[in-house]
Amino acid sequence: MEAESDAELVRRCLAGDQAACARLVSRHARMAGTVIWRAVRDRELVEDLCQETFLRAFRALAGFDGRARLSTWVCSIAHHVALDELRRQGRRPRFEEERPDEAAPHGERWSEESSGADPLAEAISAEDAARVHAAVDSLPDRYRLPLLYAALQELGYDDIAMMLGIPTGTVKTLVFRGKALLRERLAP
Amino acid sequence: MNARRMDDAAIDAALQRLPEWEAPAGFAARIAALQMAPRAGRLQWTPLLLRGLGIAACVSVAAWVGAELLHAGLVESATAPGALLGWSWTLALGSLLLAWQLVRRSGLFRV
Repeated sequence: MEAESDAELVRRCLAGDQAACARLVSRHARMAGTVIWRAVRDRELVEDLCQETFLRAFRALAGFDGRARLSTWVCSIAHHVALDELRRQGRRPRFEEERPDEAAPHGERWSEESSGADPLAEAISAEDAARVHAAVDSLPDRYRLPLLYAALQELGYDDIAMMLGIPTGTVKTLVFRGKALLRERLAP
Repeated sequence: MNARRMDDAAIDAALQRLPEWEAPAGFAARIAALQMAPRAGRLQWTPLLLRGLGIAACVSVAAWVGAELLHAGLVESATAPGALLGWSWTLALGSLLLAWQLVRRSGLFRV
């Protein structure tokens, strides 16, 4: 049986179909939860914030115009719920002030080289991975979040730009600079 | 690799290994039920209205009987049949009690 399209799912949710609402949540919960987890870094908070994300999404569903993919739209709400939590903790990440960097690559996604079943991803030791993760955690939020979102296969630069409310070029710049900072911090 | 500088590919590979969140069992069903709860609330207008009408009716009966009793007490002589007076008091108190119970259970004054 062909999977129900997002548009059909949205239409049924708006009509009050509870089963369709549950399907919409189960289809996008992993991504929304992962975005939140990467942003707030506290696994204990993810479930509550993910719930808040979907309740907000359902409240705003009538305004979903289908210009963006539903997954991007949900991730955008998840990002804003996470930002609200970060602000509550006294952190105020800002993304829009970055000037485009000529040195930043404006071509393919930087992470595509190592995506999927890349043997390198398997080969890197758990210790090295932990070092990288700790270094990412130490980055300022303005670089950390675009970098972590870009590592998600489902999110392209355009999706991240929509989530953060900044131009795609700025996202690429933030990712590029974030990665440069990361290299510095990982240098022996 | 610890002793030397990590290259981009190694960093990318490490980022690819970041764990992703998995929703707990029943998460989607719970959110969908929560989402539907306000709709259910909106559909409870009819029973609420019926309860309100019931309360109004009981209070009206109690007030009417009370007024009649007051009138009887003031105007009629002390030789009026006590049995009828007793039944009237019972009806008035019963109506007030029923109204009170309806108010308590209706949630009309719940914030």
